[in-house]
Amino acid sequence: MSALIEARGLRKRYRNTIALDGISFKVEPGRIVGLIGPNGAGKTTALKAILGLTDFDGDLSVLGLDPRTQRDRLMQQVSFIADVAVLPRWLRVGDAVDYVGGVHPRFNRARCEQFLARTKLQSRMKVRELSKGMIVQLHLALVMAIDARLLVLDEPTLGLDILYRKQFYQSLLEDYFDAEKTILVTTHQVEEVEHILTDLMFIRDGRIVLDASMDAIGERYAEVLVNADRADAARALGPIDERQVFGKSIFLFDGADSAQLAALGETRRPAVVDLFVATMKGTYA
Amino acid sequence: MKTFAWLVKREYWERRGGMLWAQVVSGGVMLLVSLVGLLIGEVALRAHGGMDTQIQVGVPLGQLINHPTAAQIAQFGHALDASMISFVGIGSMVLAFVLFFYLLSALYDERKDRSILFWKSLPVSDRDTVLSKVVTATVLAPVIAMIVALAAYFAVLILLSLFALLHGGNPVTLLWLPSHPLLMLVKLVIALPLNALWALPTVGWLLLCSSAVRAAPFLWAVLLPLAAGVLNGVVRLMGLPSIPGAMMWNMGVLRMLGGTFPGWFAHLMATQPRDFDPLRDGVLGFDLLGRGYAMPSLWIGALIGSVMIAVAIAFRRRNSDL
Repeated sequence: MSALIEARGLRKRYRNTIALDGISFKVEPGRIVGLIGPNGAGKTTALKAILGLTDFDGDLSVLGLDPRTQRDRLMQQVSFIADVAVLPRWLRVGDAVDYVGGVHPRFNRARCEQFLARTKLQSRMKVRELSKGMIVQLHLALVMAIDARLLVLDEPTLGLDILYRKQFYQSLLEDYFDAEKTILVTTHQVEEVEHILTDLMFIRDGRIVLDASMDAIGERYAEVLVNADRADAARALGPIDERQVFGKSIFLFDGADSAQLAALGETRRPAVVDLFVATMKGTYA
Repeated sequence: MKTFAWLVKREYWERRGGMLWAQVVSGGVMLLVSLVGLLIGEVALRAHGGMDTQIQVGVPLGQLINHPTAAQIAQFGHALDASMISFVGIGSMVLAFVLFFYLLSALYDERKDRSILFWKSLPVSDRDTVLSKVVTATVLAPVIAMIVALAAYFAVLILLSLFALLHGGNPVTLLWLPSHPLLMLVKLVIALPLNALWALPTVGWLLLCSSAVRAAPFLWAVLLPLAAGVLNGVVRLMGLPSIPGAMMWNMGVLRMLGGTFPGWFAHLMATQPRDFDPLRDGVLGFDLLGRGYAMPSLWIGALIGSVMIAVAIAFRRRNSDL
């Protein structure tokens, strides 16, 4: 089967800035892809392009459709949570369920009610009476009851406390995700999505600077904890980042020989956050 | 079709206050005023021995209970028919204000609170979304307003019947048979599409502003046509080619901003034959409705309004936030 999303030379410029600088990427079905980047790197623009919410130059195919011209058909198969709190304040919980059930052919009402039953949401409540966390619970219940092939999440847990955040990703993984589905997520809370991602994409200044599966990243990157006396030897191997902890140095290597690294000290797979910080050095300078 | 019904329902949920409760309040006020009129009539009758009161609630109360002649009874019928029309008319005045602000915010508020991103996450086209707002403004809301106004009218008619009964009159022969509620209802229903067509330039213009501007839709919507009118006047004063003043203001500015008011009615009443008597001829005659549908300006305006609605759809497709 061909890629679920295929972008070639995606370009988008606003008046003063270039949001997407000719990026190309593929997303295969059955993956959970994290699109990670600093503020203003072009994450949201890329998602908007995929969802047919903005114009752009270049080739983009999502489920074999062009989001610019075939948006209405595309949205039968694609769901998204654009940001927290975009549900209108006047909407009642029960009406929201009725409405989505009324207009979406792939919505499973029983499933949605089952998700809602686990929360404190009541059918008569209006969105304006709900806390941020409860609004996201409602939105997630609506979206998870839609049998879509692609789910796009743009900072879905922004502003939520840790309990809601954990619950959010846990529900997604346990009750929603399967081999037939694909999730594309952007977030700044990298630590929380790290363990659920299958693929990672870093975006910086409108360009993709890293695009790899988590397995490949484990093979390619390594962190070594090195004693001070061997630090120079480690530096000679050309690390991409270095930081100090308790008198020891932690070096991050890209594509170094693992046997050589093991001789220097304790090696481990780097956290996505550290990889991110190393890759994005100097972004705001 | 099923989707479209849900879209219209969604509009109603959001604007229940203006579309239903504002009508209930205005109907209630009319009912209350009639009730007070009847009470004052009752008090006056008792004070003056039931002869020469001038109080009128739909019909003159003094005449109603004082063995009216056949000619007077026929007049009652016409007067009641006129009240029925005016109850609906007052309701549509209230509705006109509600609709003006509804249309102005219909495609703006969703961008302001970013809920457009939720609506656009569902498989609903921009065309259907915008058209559902047009249908809400031109069909659903006017029908609700009419039902509520008619309920108020019939409540008044029942009160009036009780009043007649209390004073020894037979409400059936005095009030119900001489008036023509069914015929009036038919005329009011025929007038609904006329109202809708008349409103289209305003519907289109307000939706266009609502979908296009980044801030202050009210100012854009009102000031742009006014500025165009004033500019046209200045050009005219300078002796350069311009649109005639009356045409610019009546056909242009007024139709673009005031179309939710049933202005065709005033327009046609002003051009009635000189010997026209609303009490004798009926306020809303079939000939008047026919003349309404025959106005070229009605159809030209509807066409222009439709074009503006199409532009609003294009803007909604393009703009997903402010």
